[in-house]
Amino acid sequence: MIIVCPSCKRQHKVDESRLSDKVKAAKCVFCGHKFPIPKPGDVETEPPAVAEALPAAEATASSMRRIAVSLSKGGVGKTTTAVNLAAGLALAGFNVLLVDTDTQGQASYMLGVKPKAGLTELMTGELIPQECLVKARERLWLLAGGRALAGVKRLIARKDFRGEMTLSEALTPFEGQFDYVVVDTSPGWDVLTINVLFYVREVLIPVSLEVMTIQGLLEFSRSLASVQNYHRDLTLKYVVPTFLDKRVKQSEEILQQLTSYYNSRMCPPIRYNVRLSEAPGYGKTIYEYAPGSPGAKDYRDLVRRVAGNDELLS
Amino acid sequence: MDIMGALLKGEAPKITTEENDIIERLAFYLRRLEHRNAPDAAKDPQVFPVRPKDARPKKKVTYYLTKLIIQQLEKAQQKLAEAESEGIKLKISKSVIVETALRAALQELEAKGPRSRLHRILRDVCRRTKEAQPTAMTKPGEDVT
Repeated sequence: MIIVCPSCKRQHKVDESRLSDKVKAAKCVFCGHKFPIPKPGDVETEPPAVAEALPAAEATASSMRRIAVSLSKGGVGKTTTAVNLAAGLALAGFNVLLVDTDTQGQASYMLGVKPKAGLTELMTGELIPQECLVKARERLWLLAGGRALAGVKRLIARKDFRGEMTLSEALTPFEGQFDYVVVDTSPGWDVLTINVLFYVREVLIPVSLEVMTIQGLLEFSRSLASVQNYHRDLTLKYVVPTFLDKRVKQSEEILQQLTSYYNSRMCPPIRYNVRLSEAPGYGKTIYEYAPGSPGAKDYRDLVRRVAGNDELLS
Repeated sequence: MDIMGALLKGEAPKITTEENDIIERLAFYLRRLEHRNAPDAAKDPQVFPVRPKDARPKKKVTYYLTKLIIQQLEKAQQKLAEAESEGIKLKISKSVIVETALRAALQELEAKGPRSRLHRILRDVCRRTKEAQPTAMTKPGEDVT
């Protein structure tokens, strides 16, 4: 049953079978308004149109690119890369959906938005899919993460069958509506990361140039190979060196070694840049906060590389 | 078949993909990095020349010296550093010079009492101070003659 908040007109999906007879009212997660739950016999008006209209479903399901920004090691710049890649692609004219699967939920913080709902509500089915999205920028939609995702992990873990497909099934309504779906993952190896790898077709790995990250990359590559057993379309498409500091001798050497291993999959490096760490504090992307900085230039190069068009954002 | 369980436990079957070669090379490179960064147990610890520490306890104190004596002390240290004693270059700190000179004067004062050189010099200094007009302290940067 879909009920509509009379105050903000948002739609909520409610499982009637789980409602006891004693429950008479509901509270809107968006505006906090309490209102009586309409009985099944009541005349329900047509649900209103979604406030933020999603892009027209022009792209076909097969042309919608799904990219995971992932590595089990933390602190390598996954969220920074995911947010700036998604924002860059949106600036270049593509319709982009950024999905944050991290319990820290920092993608919304970096974009300076405070969504009332996100991936949790989508996966638990509490809200209709369109209500879970927030329009963070022009052509950029966000499906926010957050602490509540910990509960979703338990929900997936309890599933006996097709637990790895939970995210894919939840994101089905957005099929073909975007040009790119960029998925930011949390560090570590858990049920949600596995779900992400079953949903996406391309993986982008940010690698900070230090020994610990090489160890993390090795472990993650092994895990990725295991997932490829079941999901043959999954490919490691991009390796993005991050925190490049030419003053550090080892970082140059590691970059050369990685380039020799990954060849064409290596992307232009993201240099260490203080503006990249300052920008989230202002809720801005690097293109908004410091468009002339080396960080912005490097992420523009990455956007061109991912989109396969050298003319973009120039 | 519990795919999720197998992936979480790392029990998923391994297949040969184009990634395998890279994984192997990456593992080899990581071992090389670890080996390079590990402290070499076989190698002797590097020995740095350490100045032998004085067994006697020392204490930092502040006494006033005239600027003239400070200049002379520095000149004496330089002279001692330039001079060679039996082919060995002397490298003596100002503290050592002050301590040695003071010890010699105090030992003589203890042995000879009022006939010691230090006693006589100090007596002259006191008499001259009493006779002379009180003088002002030298200002910072003022030449001492």
